[in-house]
Amino acid sequence: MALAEASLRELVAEHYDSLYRYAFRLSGSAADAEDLTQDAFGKAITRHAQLRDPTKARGWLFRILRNGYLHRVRDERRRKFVSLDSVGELPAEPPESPPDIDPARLQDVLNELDEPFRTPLILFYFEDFSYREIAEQMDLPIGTVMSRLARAKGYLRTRLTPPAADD
Amino acid sequence: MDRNLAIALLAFDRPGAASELPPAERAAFDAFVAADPALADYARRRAAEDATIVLAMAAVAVPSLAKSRALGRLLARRSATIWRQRLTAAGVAATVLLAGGLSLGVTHSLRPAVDGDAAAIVNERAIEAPEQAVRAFLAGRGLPAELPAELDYARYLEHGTQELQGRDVAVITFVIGQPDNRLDYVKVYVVTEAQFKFDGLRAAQSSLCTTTVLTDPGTPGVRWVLVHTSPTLEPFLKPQRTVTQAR
Repeated sequence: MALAEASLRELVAEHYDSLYRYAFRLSGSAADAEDLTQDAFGKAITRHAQLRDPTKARGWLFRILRNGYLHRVRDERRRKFVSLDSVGELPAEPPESPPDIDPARLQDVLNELDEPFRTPLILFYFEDFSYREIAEQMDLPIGTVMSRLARAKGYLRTRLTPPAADD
Repeated sequence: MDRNLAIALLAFDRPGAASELPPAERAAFDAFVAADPALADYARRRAAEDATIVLAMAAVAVPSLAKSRALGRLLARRSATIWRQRLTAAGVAATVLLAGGLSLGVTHSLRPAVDGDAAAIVNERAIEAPEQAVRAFLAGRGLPAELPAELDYARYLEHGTQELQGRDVAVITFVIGQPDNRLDYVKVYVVTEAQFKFDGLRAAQSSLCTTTVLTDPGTPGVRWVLVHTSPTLEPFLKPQRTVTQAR
């Protein structure tokens, strides 16, 4: 059975904006973000029986959206991602007063990251997904999520904020 | 807790979100950080940096009409899904009905109507000329038409098939009424080598029945197994005839 109309309206009203932002940060494109968001809700219409606990709708929708995104880019080989092998696990010293970050610049840096590092970073900074929820969405052990997150945060800092003067 | 562990934990702290440490450990961590001014300053700067990134991360403008545009398309898609599901269900139901109807129709058309006249004629023939009826029946099943024993068809009751050890076997029954209203009978089972192994097939006797096995050298692939309630077959035979028993 398809999702009830009232439930669909409720899902869209409640989760569209955050899902769109997530899609935008994943894909880096407004057009792709709109498509991905609509596709995620479209799948939710037919797969809503999978959602046993309505309080977990948000995580469920994020997971659907990410799967849709991965499906799109799975065979895409054009993108060149940076290797995080050179990025240390330990965080750099934070600046005394962090500079404003241009959202477009942030997106450029996110686009440089490979998806396995980009996704936990977005989810971490996005609203309030816990490490466990991120691990569930990515089907990864929580330790792997934390490790990837630490490396991705390290990379983000090196690209977005100048090193502290006292380093 | 030491300073390195505290710094490592700070790396996983989440600005504006609930701590993922258990309350007691969180309290111990906060107290440790607060007691170390340099560490507290580091934590403050880390939190400020993360808060800046959170702000930048969330600074995505959602197109004003995107949501309503999406909702319109999704409602249309939902309607299409419902119709597709309904049509699929209707198609399945129609297929089932059609298949069921066809099968019912075919079965119905293949089943003959009961013909009382035909039943009467079959029995009439058996009553009027039982030997000919039995011959025709046996020949029709590819069996020797003649029985190896000269059984008296004046004692004939019926013929047909009966299941014997899972095989459909031709059987002819003869009866004799006794003065005490008891019936003695003999059932002649005509069995073939195609149906049974003949190894060990021999005469037998129980408290109520006797089994006699007859052979005919001209048809080695057939045995006649006669089960009779009388001590011998003599009461069922035409006068002055003999039979060849299997060894």
